[in-house]
Amino acid sequence: MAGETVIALPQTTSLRSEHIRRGRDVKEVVNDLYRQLRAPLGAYVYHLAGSTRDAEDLVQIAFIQLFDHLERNEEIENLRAWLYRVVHNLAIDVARESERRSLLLQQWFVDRGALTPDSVESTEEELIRREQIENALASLNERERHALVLRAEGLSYQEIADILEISVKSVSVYLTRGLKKFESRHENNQK
Amino acid sequence: MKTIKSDNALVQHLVEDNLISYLDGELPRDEQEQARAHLESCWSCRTRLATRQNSVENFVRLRQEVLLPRQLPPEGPTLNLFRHRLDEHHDTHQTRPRLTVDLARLRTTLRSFVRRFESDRLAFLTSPTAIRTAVAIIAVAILVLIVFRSNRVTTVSANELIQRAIDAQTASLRATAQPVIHQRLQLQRITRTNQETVSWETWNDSINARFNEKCDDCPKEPASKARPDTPPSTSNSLIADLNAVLIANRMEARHPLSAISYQSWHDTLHGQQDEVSRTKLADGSGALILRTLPATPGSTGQITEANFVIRTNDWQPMELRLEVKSESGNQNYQLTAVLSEVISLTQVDPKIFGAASSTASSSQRTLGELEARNSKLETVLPVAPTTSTLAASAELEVEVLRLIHQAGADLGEQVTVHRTAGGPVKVSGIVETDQRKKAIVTALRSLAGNLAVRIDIQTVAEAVALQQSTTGRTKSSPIPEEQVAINREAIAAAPELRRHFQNDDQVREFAARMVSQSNSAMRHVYAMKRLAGQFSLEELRTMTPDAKNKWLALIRSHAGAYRKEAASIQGELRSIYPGASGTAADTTEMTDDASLVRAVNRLFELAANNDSAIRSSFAMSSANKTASVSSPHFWQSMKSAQALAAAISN
Repeated sequence: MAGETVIALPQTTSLRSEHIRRGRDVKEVVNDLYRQLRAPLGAYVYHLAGSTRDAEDLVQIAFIQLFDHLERNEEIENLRAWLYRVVHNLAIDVARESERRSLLLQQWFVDRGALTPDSVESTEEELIRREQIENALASLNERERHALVLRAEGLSYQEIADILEISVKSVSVYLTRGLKKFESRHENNQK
Repeated sequence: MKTIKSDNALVQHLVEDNLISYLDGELPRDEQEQARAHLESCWSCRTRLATRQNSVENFVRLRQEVLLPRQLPPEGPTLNLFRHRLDEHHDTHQTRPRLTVDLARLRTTLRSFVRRFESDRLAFLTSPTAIRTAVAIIAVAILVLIVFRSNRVTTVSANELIQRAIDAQTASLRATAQPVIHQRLQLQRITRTNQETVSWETWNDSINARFNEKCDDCPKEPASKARPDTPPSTSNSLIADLNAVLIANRMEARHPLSAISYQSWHDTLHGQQDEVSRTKLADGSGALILRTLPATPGSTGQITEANFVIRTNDWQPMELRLEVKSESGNQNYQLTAVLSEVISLTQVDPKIFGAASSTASSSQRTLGELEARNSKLETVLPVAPTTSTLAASAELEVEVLRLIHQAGADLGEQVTVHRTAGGPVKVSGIVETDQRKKAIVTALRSLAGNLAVRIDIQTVAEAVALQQSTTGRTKSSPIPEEQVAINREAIAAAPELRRHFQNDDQVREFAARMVSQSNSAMRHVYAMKRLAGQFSLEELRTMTPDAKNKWLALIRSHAGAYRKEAASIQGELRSIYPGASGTAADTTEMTDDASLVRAVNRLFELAANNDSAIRSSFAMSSANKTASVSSPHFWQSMKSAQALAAAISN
């Protein structure tokens, strides 16, 4: 599970030169990073793009862009924030393009329907619970949802601000509002 | 620290938003310390903090337990898939300069391949000579493939081809200040019995709607001694005949050898047959021929077959061959470009467009002259004597604006609506074709008979004829044969683009698309700014709600259209600058007309900046060395413009 793995990432990257000096291929470095980070990034993109397949695809595209970046010897100041920003932008573009955001919830269910049979059997109770939480999350506005999910992924306020292109100050505002809405909505659902 | 002051100034409770910041350790150090001290002493804040902490835990737990599992495809296959994808990407995105590296890589790959075979102890490959031969054959085959592929231009459809040529033209026009299209053409007419050839030189100043032409070897006709100052229709019979054909087929008489002209004819066809094939020009450069056969054999004067030759390295039209139905068998016209260039007005001999050399003064003067001659050309709806017009209201003006918008005539600068104090609303402008003029006049039909509306729309041809009859005799003088080379290589953003695209054509195509898209986004902003400035605040205040709403709807629709265009541009640029980001500046509240007008003007500034950044980055020019679209400033401005446009359109 992504949440439990603590990933030590170089904050300032001389990533390429360092690894290359150690005789590692850029491709290998990117493959490694992808293995480590696909889950948290994918989980984040999922919230934006609405389907697991798109999420995985967008994450892969982001890593391919990372590869190009490293190949060109370009500096990346904060690798994690860079990756989140790239997937965020990709996902927003995709979502905008297909106007899929309004269908986010339906998509979510379709996806799950497709995944449920061959994975663990879900009890009805579990399904209802999931639905409640999804509904609660869907009741937040975009920024609140993004901020909350990014924060849950462990990003700092500054990183979140950079990715969402908002001020650091408003991050706390969105988080507060998001948490409140999520909670009240979820409580209502349970009643 | 932001705090809530209670009766006791010493008790400074934490504000809502600071609770989460405190928990996350994101408060500035001194505030964090103050908050900690306060929390120790304040039960109420500690309880609120605990509640907040509780929500965080709740959210994280629910998300992890319920939402996250089973979301992603299984790791194993996905990792392999990505590995392949990256390999593939790496292989296909090697740019040509890296060919040597490629070969080295190829060699190592082949070696490892061979080694694998060796380790399998395959009998027939154990001989080193056999291996070497095999390797050589494979290498040669791959090289041949690479060379073959790089020379192959992907097949394009007729519309794509025309569009590319138009984009290329747009880009070169945008890259030049006060552009004038200068073409030296050879015109040939072949009939069954006869063959004539003339050299035809044209100058087309599209900004000021001015045009001039010259024909040195045209047989002198008695009526015209000084050739350039006579209108085309009475000059050389060959050129005049071609003009008639062009006009009859909706082509551009003033710019016949252009993709726009071809498209304009092409758009009138239904069920035509298009065929694109490859050819080589006399100088050896590659070109594509678009052959169009209209479905229905037209009447006399109609084109029965057209061949349009476009050079592939710069999408420049090189030749146009038209087969035209005539009473005495078919006639063939052939227009060949001897020279085609976009030059700045300053480089044009002033004598070509009359005595004035500066654009500003000459265009003003021309307009003034047009105005003076208005009585002749005015298209007055039913019969409205110009002397007895009524004072128009702001509401009427809005209605006119709305109708113009419906006819799509408020984009670009061609039609203006102007109301004089106590006078009528005047709709004036110059449009490209007669058809367009009719469309606009039709759109305004509902105002027919309204004495407070005066419509004066001219076609370019009318305006030119008028201008030529008013500017007086232009002396025929030798025209300096100065050729200005356009530096095609300098697209500021080219280095970034080259990394993304496989060849220069794609780079150019992308750059041209960016410029033309930005251009079309700007048209909405222009239209919006014009609308906003159309009325004074006083007029807006006293306007009827109905008219006011119409006006608002027009502004909103342009703001919305701009936002869409800008979002699409941004999306495309993202693929080139994946890590670029910027934060939208806060949009100001729009509470009243004044603030709306301010917002519109602000959006205009932002949009104009964005447009100029895009043009300086993607248009061909020798002046720019760096691409300003990569700067954070640009992205910020881009974001701000979209946010502002969204705010206005809502």
